[in-house]
Amino acid sequence: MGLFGDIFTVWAKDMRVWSKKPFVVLSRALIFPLVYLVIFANSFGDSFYDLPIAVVDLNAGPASLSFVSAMTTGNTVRVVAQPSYEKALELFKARKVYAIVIIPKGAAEVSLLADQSSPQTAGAIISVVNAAAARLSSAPGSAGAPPIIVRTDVHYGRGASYMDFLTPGVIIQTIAMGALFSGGVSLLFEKQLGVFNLLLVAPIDKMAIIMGKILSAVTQSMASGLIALVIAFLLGAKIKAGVVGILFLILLMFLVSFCFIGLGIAMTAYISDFQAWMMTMQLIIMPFWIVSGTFFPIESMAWWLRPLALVSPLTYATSAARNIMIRGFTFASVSSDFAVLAGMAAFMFLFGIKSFRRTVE
Amino acid sequence: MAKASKTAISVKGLVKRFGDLSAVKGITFSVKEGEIFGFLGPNGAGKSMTINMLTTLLVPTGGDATVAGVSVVGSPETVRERICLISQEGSVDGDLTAEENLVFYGRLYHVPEKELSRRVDRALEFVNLSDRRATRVKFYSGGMRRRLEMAKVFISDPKVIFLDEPTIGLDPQSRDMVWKKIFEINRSKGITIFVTTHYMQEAEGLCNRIAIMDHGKIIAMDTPAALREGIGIGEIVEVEVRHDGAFHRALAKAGFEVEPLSRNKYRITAKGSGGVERVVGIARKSGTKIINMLARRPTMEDVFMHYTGREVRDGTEAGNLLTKVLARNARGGG
Repeated sequence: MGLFGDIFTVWAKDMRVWSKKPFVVLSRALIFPLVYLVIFANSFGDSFYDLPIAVVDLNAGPASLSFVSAMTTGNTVRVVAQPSYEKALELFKARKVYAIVIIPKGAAEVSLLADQSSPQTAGAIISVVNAAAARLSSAPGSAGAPPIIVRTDVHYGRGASYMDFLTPGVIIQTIAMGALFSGGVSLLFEKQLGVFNLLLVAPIDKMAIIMGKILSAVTQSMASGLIALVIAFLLGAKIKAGVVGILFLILLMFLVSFCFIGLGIAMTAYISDFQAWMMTMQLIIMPFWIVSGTFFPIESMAWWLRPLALVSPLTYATSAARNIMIRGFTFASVSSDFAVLAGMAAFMFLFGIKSFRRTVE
Repeated sequence: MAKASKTAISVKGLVKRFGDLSAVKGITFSVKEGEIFGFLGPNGAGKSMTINMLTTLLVPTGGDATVAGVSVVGSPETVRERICLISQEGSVDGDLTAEENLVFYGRLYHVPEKELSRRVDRALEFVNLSDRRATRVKFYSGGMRRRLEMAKVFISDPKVIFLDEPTIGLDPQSRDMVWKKIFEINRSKGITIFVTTHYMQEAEGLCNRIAIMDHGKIIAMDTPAALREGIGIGEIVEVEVRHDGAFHRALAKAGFEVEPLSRNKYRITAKGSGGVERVVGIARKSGTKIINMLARRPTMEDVFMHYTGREVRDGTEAGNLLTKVLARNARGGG
């Protein structure tokens, strides 16, 4: 019995330790699978809704009205009526609408401009427009009238693959994780091992410690982001950006880096247990990532998940990165994403510094 | 070594409170320049709090202390320039080599680059780590790590060195080496040394003066010799007899303090001198046969027990390495 008794002793001791960490245990056993099942399962729906499209109606008669109503049944698309092609194009370029439908005077040949930078939404829109045309052509009242023809013209990222679609989000996530680790985990370890005390008793300003640590974290996370970018290149990802676009992409990477370094050091100020820290990180970052639109467009997400996507900095970063990398840089297409992300990064960064100060003073 | 009575550390009414809990209750003492000052006390006595306040890691709730002539409350930055803290957790980074660690340390203390490489060489030589300078510290043994900690002293040229449990968890050889180095640093450079330790014998042998702290207060402070005299014990006699008979009672009657250690074995505390003869006399008179006998003068450990009692303290100080080390040893590990 000796051996089994000892095994039991060891087991019982570990179980005792285990039972003393309700947070870790709960997240591992309950919260974790639950969160992922709920979020994952509802993030990749098979139907889209509310995809914004611009309609330029030159017919303005009963034919065009019935065509628009045929498109909007099922709520896959949301029509944003536009007076002129120029106005519609402006919205299209800024990715405020994902497609333009032009109904000419005769209403017999509908033109469709789709944005291929998101292949899934483009596909959904094309099929909705075609279905509407087919339905009206075979409707009982349309006997004798010529069938409606849809001419589809694909813009942006023609031939973009799913990997092209995925790449921007993966690069953003790499930076975010790098920032969390280099900002948070390394600090956590230094504190636990006493190495951090060396800095605290050194004759240097506390601000030097804070800024030095942040700077090294920024460098490390940017390096990991750039490595991810290079790997994406090597794997064949196409990046359509131009010099200004690349500069904005790097600025974007900085914003993501600052945002998650802020989060990392703030977490370190409040959580000193390594396991609890890792769990918290997983719980925050994974759902944020899943709903960020990296894997599938946000428009296919369950309605109640969308608010989560809206508060996730990764959503804006991924959207901006995708616009730059697949569609090519235009200021209009990234300005709102940049504005929101900059605000979030500033907030998280200042919060991080404030929490950090609390621990060094 | 001791330069004429200049003061290196002067503590006045130092207080540290956490809410209702007073960890340090207004202590006052001073350490002379060039002294090795031992700071003893049971776990949770307030030693670490005190050392943290003196090294500016903690801001005192009340009172003040000057270290190397500078107030820890008034200008902690200047204090930090003049001190070196060698703590029990260690502060070297395992991922860096010994040399890299010391260079980093020197830069934190703004040592000019040219001077720095000279000091790093000298420091590594002093702690006998020259041949291992390019090894990453995570591959060092505990003793080597501790020696590397000591090497910091030669980099920043401090006026006062604070050592928090410098020999904890080390084997006797490494402990001996560390103490030798402490003594050498003190001798050769005349640097004031403030050291906390649980090894009473080591403190006794090396410290010029010792303070004993308990429950947030300093309860005794003097030279080791004066402290031993001060508790009024002449000799401690441990005696083992064949049959007790009337021996035990006769001892108590004669005014000895008797503490049974096991069956037929006693520890006898004798005030004044001549304790051994009197114990032997009582044994002879009561017809008791002595099997074994050990007599000794009181040690620092007896002084410590005298002032702080025999009751075991539950260590509450954060990161109490001693507890961990003891637990590991008790399990039969390293």
